[in-house]
Amino acid sequence: MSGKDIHVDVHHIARVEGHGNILVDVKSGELKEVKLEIVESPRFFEAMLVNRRFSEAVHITSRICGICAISHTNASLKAIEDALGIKPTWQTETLRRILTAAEIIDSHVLHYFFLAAPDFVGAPSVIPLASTSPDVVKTAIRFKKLAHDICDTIAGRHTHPISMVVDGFTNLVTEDQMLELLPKIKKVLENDIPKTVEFFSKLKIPQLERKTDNVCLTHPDEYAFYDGMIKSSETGEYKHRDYKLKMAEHVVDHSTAKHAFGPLKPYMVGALSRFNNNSGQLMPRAREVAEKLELQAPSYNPYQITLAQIVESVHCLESTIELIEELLSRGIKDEREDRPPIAGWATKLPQIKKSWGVGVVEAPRGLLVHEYKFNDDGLIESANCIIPTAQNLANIEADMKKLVPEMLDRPREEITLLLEMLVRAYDPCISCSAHMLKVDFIE
Amino acid sequence: MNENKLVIGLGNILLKDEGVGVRCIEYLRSRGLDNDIKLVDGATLGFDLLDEIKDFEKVVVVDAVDMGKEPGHITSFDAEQLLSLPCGEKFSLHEIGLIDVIQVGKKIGYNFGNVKIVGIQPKEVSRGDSLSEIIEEKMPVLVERVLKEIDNQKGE
Repeated sequence: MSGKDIHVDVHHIARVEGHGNILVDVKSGELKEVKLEIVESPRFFEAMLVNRRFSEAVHITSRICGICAISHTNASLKAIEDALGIKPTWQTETLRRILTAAEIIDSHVLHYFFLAAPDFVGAPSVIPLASTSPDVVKTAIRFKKLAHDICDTIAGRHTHPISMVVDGFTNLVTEDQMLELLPKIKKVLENDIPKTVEFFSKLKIPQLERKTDNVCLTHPDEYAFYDGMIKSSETGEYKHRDYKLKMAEHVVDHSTAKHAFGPLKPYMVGALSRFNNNSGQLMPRAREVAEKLELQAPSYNPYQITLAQIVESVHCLESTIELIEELLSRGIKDEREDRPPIAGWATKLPQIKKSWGVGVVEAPRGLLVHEYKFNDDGLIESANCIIPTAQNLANIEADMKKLVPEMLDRPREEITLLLEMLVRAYDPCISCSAHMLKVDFIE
Repeated sequence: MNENKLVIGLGNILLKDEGVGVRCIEYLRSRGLDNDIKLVDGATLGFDLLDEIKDFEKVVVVDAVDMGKEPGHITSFDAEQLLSLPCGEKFSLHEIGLIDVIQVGKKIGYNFGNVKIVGIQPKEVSRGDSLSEIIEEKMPVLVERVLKEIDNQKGE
């Protein structure tokens, strides 16, 4: 089959956050071009923040993504707190950590059950999967319901949190409410996790090996999602304010999204990077699940991102139980009187002077950065949001360049499917529309 | 549950008319029109709608729907009807479309006999956190339709 011409042109159908196209051009058996074209508009949210007060920034940014509202809220709050020089209390940060875990579960479940699983069982989307494997879909919905119960309880609303503000919460969750969550989490961990692991352990994960730079947060005391240093497996650790040293932006002409490159080469963010860099800090059940799924660090197979997401979901269930138990043993207190009046729940909002701040968190899909500069009137002068999908684009292209020459002898349907599965494995923000693709081959 | 009526507004308020469902909820709430109705800002909720919907006798979902009509055109559908409408491949602009949710829900035993959708044709779906003028003007009509539907709709 060498000497073959292949032109793959996959058009993703429009979605709010963007369109993505895969273009592959092979002439006489030689790879001429591989592109992942993304047309999306992260700048558009940044422009919307200009001239807003800090108190507005959180509510605007939480609407950027319907899935990652908690992550955007946390990144936004941390950037503002960084500018104000505030370090929230242990209680506030613990509640934020629990919300983060809930969002990780919610988003990962949506991906591995609804977006990735259909590929592995040969279903065009989750809709036929609901007929052939209704129990799988019901399990996924139970997971999601739990994640929403947690967010509802702590943040007041599950999709776009309303009670999360600078330095605290407008409404504080009660101990009784937290106590009610515990049996629900334990039930999912005991009943639904084994079924999930069994389902995914039987699926055949495609093979691809390409060593890359794994970038994520890392923290001495925990498997990091909410806080920590930025760690690159290749170039070391960076403080949050130095994020640009690692995440230099690079604009390529076929994409309006900012491709993010490290100083030398593309890098990967997300579940597999976190697993590779921090797996020694996983909770016990999560480690067992990794073993059962035959996932070992470091894994350089991007198709295993889906497995890393399952492991992380288990870790998040376990860590949430641990955090709630610790909160209850310390007792949940109204801390407002002891905090500076600068906090978001204070009736008189402070005037921020000229300053800047950076907030970095792990969103489900990877490292998320918000940076705001405030002017003398306390209004946002400029904002920079670096989303995980933008950082992964260059890495996905590098994977495709490795993958395509390895499978030129396969039927074009298979090549297309494996390329689509690769893009979907990264769980990009465009993946929701990726099951309604229009595929054109031109030979 | 005490309430038996639920109105969910869907949409992204950062994309002008796309957020009309959420704006409708804010309108109802700010004018105190929610006596015996639970109002939910559903934002861009996907499969999570299934859990919101199931405990109520009557549910109305408000959303921007591209029907190829003039901006501000308002129509109501039964959830069942929605599945047979000629809406193209992608019914909604949200991450997971309402139609996907209903299709999956039906297959795993959810019943949508209690759900009515009130759709309004958007004028502009682009960057901006306010509605276009024509949709803003239509808001009282939209709200009236929503209240009519939630009152007329038969429970299961």
